[in-house]
Amino acid sequence: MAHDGVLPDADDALVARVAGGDGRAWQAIVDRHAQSILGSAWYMLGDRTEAEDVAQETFIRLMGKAGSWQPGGPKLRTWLYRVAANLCIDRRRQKRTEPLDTVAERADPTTDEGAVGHSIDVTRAVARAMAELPERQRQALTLVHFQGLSNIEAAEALEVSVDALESLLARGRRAMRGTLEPVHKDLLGDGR
Amino acid sequence: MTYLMNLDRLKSLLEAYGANPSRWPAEERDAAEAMIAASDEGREALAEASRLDALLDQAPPPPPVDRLGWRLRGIGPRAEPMVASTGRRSAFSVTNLARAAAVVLAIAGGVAVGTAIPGQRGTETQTVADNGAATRVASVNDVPFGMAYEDAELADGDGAITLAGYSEDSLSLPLQ
Repeated sequence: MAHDGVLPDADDALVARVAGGDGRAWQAIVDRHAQSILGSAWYMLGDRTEAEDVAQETFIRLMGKAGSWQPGGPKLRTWLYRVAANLCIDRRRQKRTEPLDTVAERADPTTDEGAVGHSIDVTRAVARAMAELPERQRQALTLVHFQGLSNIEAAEALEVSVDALESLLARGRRAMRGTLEPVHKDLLGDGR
Repeated sequence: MTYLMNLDRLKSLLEAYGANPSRWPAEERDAAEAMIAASDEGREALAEASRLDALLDQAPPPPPVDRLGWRLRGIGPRAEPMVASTGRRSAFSVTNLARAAAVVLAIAGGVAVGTAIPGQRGTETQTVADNGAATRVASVNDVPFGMAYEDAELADGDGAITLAGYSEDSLSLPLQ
């Protein structure tokens, strides 16, 4: 699985060191997990600033939790994803965020090149389809497809059973396929 | 749950996890790959899932973490371990909590409560007791962005964080 190679107990040890005031341990945790948490928030929210705020708040909560962290409990990585996922839901409920598709158009450095218009169209279509997914399906797809969590990790992060996760994933992918069907045919020659 | 691998189960796997075996449940990976090797229909389902994967992989990539880095560094403890005269929970110094709380305040809309105390850089004066509430917060000069706070209550989707007069329980998260 696309795990980052960090042993869970290594993370536990780092959290314990953070609880003892070790800034280097904190930096190690940030180095190991910040990009992943930012990435998950990005796919869920589609807005860089919002995603960064969620990632920051997630780490603030870790800082508040470090002193009572229980080694051998939920893996730090899973816990961080869970906190970030809940924060993303809160944010989406509080206000509508800019859809991924408009962000993609603005952020893509290749938008001024006609030769790459083809891939931009795909990127935009995928972003739009992601933004239209129901919340939990997008979260499941984010964690498993884009973040590489195992089914067990993703289920723990979303606080659902593995069966429920599979259902979310299947429905999410089915919805993506339906939305992307025109792109699928136009750009990939009917998928072949 | 343990599944019997057959064509239906293989299709379910592909519909949920896509075509990359690394995303499949580890305990079913070998059986699924064997099923694909033995079944034309299985290979067709694999190809279909692979095409959708290829589209999904063209989603806008996440931004780099660089811009976030300095913000996260400001949340954590200082670079060197602190002398833990009060024991293992010294990281729960008011200073560190103040930093974290101040950033929360900034995110929540910049609600600053209290009055900034001018003058020399403040020092941490008290840590949170294991079983008790802190009665005094650190100097505001330890707080990023010069934010002052006292007696602020921050509500979020999962509960509330109380700063002044807080107990450790009030800072605990709803998870784990």
